[in-house]
Amino acid sequence: MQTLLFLVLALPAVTAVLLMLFRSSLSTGNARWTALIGALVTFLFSVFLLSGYYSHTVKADELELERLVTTQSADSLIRPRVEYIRPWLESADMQLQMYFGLDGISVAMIALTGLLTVSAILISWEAIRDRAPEFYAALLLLETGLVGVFCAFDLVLFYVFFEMTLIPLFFLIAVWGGKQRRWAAVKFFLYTLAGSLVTLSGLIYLVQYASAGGLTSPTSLPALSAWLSQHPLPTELQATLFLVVSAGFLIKVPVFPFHTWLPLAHVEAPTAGSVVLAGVLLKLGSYGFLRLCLPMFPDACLQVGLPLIGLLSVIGVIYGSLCALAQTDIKKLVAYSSVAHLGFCMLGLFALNQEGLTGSVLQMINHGLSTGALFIIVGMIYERYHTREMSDLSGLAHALPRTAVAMVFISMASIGLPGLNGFVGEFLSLAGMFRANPLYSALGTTGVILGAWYLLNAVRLVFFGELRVPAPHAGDAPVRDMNGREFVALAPLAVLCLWIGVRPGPLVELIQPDLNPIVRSINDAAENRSNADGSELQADPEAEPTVATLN
Amino acid sequence: MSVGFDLRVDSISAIMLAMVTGVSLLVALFGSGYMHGDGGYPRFFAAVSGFVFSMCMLVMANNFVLLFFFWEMVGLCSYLLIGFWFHKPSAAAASRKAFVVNRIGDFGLIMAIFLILTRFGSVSFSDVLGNPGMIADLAAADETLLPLICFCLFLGAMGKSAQFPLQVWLPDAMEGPTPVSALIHAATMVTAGIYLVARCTPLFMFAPDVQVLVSATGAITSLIAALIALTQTDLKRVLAYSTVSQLGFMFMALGCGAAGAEVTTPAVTAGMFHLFTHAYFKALLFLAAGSVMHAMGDVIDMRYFSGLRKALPITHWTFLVGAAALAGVPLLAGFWSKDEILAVLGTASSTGNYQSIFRIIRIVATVTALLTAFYTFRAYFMTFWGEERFPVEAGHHPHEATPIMAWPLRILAVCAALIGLAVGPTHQFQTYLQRTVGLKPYEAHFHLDVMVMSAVIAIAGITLAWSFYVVSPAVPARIAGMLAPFYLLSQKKFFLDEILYGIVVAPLKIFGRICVFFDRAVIDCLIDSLATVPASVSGLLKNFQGGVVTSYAGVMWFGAVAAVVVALSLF
Repeated sequence: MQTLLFLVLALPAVTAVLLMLFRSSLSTGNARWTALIGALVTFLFSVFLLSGYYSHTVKADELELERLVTTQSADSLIRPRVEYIRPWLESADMQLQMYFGLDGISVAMIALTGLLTVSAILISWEAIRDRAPEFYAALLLLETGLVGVFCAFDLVLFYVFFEMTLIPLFFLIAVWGGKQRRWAAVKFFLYTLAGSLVTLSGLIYLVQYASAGGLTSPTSLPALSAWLSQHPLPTELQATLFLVVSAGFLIKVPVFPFHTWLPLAHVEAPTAGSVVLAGVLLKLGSYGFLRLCLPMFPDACLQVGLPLIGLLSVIGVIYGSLCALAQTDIKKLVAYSSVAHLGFCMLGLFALNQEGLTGSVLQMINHGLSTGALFIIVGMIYERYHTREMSDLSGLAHALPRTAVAMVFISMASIGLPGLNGFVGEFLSLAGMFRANPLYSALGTTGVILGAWYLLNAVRLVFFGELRVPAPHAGDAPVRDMNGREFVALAPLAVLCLWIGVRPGPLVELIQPDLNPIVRSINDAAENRSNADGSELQADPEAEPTVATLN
Repeated sequence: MSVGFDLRVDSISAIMLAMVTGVSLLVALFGSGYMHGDGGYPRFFAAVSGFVFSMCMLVMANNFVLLFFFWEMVGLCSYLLIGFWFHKPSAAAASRKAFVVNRIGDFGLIMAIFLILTRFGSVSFSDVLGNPGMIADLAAADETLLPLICFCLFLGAMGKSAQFPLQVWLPDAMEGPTPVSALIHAATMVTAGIYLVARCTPLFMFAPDVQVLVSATGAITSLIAALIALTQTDLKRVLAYSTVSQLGFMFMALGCGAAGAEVTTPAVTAGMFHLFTHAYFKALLFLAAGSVMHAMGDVIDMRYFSGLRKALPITHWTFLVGAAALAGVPLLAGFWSKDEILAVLGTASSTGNYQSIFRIIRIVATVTALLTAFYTFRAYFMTFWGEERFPVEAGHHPHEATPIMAWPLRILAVCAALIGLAVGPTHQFQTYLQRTVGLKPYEAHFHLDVMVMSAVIAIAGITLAWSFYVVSPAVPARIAGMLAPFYLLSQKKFFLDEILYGIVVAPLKIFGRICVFFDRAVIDCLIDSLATVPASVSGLLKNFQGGVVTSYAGVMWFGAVAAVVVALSLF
């Protein structure tokens, strides 16, 4: 398993390096084939990783599970089931480790990254002719960065990979983007970097604090979370640190009002960039919350996170939907829909209970699939008609019937039609939030109405009605419907949308064991608080984790 | 939380299943003739089959989440079928409208599910509905809980069953192929809301205020829809408004449980019975209208044809049976079920706490019954009587329905004529339905007075229509001229679409624009100006190291003077 993990982590980077080394001698065709093979093999390995993990942990009995996690304290809230630890930098009072690991959440996210990278490469096949080797190298480097974040269980490593993702995406937008690409790239880079520097300062303080408190490996996430659950931070400090550490994640998700970089970046990015950006990169924000904020600052999550970030998420859902409604550019519409959908994800996360967290993680994966697919379709339209203005297009279902079917299918997944993936995540997230704060949940649910409105409106405008398209440019090939390559890029996403919608059970089983300790610690924090000052319960103490079996 | 894929069939589900599968079969047979030669033939039957599956699952679901699952699936199939001819902008707009308006109702249903999940700890029908003790405890502990749950459930029902003010999508849904209108938007899917409310009777019993709301909404809807149907010239739209109106009748009946626990079962029985009979005669009317449309070259506006009874004999007599059943002509299907509704409204207006409200509702129901008979036969006389005229699109010899279309019409006509008589006065329907969870057996009576009254109303309405549209065809125009404002109001559908657009859609769109503007002009500007801070600070500092020796000298001089001043003032 460790070897596989390394391969998944290193293969894209190695391919990227090869592409860069031989970039002058590689034709566009060779470059994209090299990249595709590299990405495909990586994806294959990530599937092996997923199935291996599933059969070794989810299907394993308790004894074997205990044996797998012997290196960790029982108090730890973060317990990777697969570990690779090597000392890295050691000083008298602090050890830094090369600590890679896997738990259910990370293995799922890694597989998603692998899949979306393959789709991103396939969809760039014709569109990218300029500096192709560099383009694919950047895309693959981005993959390594993303996989790195998901399998890093050491704070330093986590942060390094977290920031590493910025550089390739910066180049993807700045070099291969649209008209305003430079400005969009700089804004994206500086904005998210500024946020994560604030996060970094909070993390440094936290590490210093733990180190001063006698923890020898303060950067190891399992050790740190175990230590913090025994030595909880003082309330005030916890709230402050929570806010400081959240800064970078809030921008990355993005939560209203920190979202303005996103529509710009999406509109200017090439299709592949948008797919990976929406599909995986945004999830680094919510993943960061889940990995760092919830386990480390349970009390602050209850006191500050639920009311504050919950509120911002609700605003994000409604505001993002309304903005999407007013768009005329279909790519911008999808970008704003991301703001709304990530709002659902954050609502589930800060419900801080079993259903909410499960729904939130599902929503991360679902949004990656459905929005990734939406960006692919938008890219396909743009490639054919060189426009994204919905007023320029009408009745495409006549010219592109297969694409129209895909669009209706993915739209339905995105607006949360039961039987497709979006429903499971949204429903659980909102149900979780309903336990925590019914008002937020009710307001958030209105986003379900608005979501159907703006997306079906786009479908109606672009695909239905009489056929009307802009005049073709001179020298354009005649427009053809979805070809085999595009089908291969889209089909796996659509199949997964359906699979998760009909049988979310296995995925829930995969991620739930890693969520339970977090839920438990937050329930403990709520109980302590109510015992301490006798105030009203914030979280339902009866919400003892029960196994959610959605079938 | 645990949600299983549990199915369960009890009496009420079985009744729905029998009705759904029976009507679907006939409609599918009809559709195979009607859609013959259409390029989307496979797509049509894929969606129809998907619908039948989902509808069957909806009525067999044993928990709220599964019900919601298929509630949305039937909505999807409806969306796909309304927009079947997606090249027509009107069809594309209608399909989107149907989906989005339904979503408003779904919002209520989701909220109801969350409330049930958090308070009952389960979403299973057996745990929630089959547990009267628990419902009573919860109602006693929190007296707003059950009214809230029931209100949310009813909001869901309002969307799917097109009740005021969410009825706007159903008339537009007629853009779909006619068999779809018959199956989905008349007989089956739109009754899912009735089914939901009837199914949740054990909950509604604890929320009499909401039950009154159910009845009142039904009354308002049925009256408005009937008034609109009076002046429509599109045959399918007349039928669509009549569907809305009849669904209102069913809700009127369901809400009568507010009058007391002993009225609950008769109320549900009356509503479900009307649902059952309505499915047959309304499907028949729509299919007959489809047959007219087929013969007239897709023209359905009654102003362009008349006197079709000789050209289309089968369509004519089957439509006549359906119309008579809808109007409530004695012994036909609609007569029996409408009687039950009027009877239960009578009971509710003489017992219980809400007598005065139910008295008004009963008057509304009676007036609506009269209007129903009138507009149904107006449509019938306008289409089949008078001088024989065909539109250009029909060619010279309109062709009668082919056998594959004619036989479903004949079978449905027999059902529409006899099914009420077969299961109504014999109490078959009532005894069967009573075995449903939450319902109690009751002693049924014949309400001879109600029967006589409704027979008189039906005959009166038909006679009126006959005298207006056959005997003296000039009269309607004169009356329309006399009551011009009211005529316009009815013809323009009370401007409900425009009002809805004005108070909901347009403000939201404008608000969306405002959000976009706010996004660019405020939030983004703020962020961008924040980003200029480092640049401007560095711009300031830059001046101190411009490389110009004279300015360095100047700064040095200032510094020296400042140092001297400070030193002097200190010592």
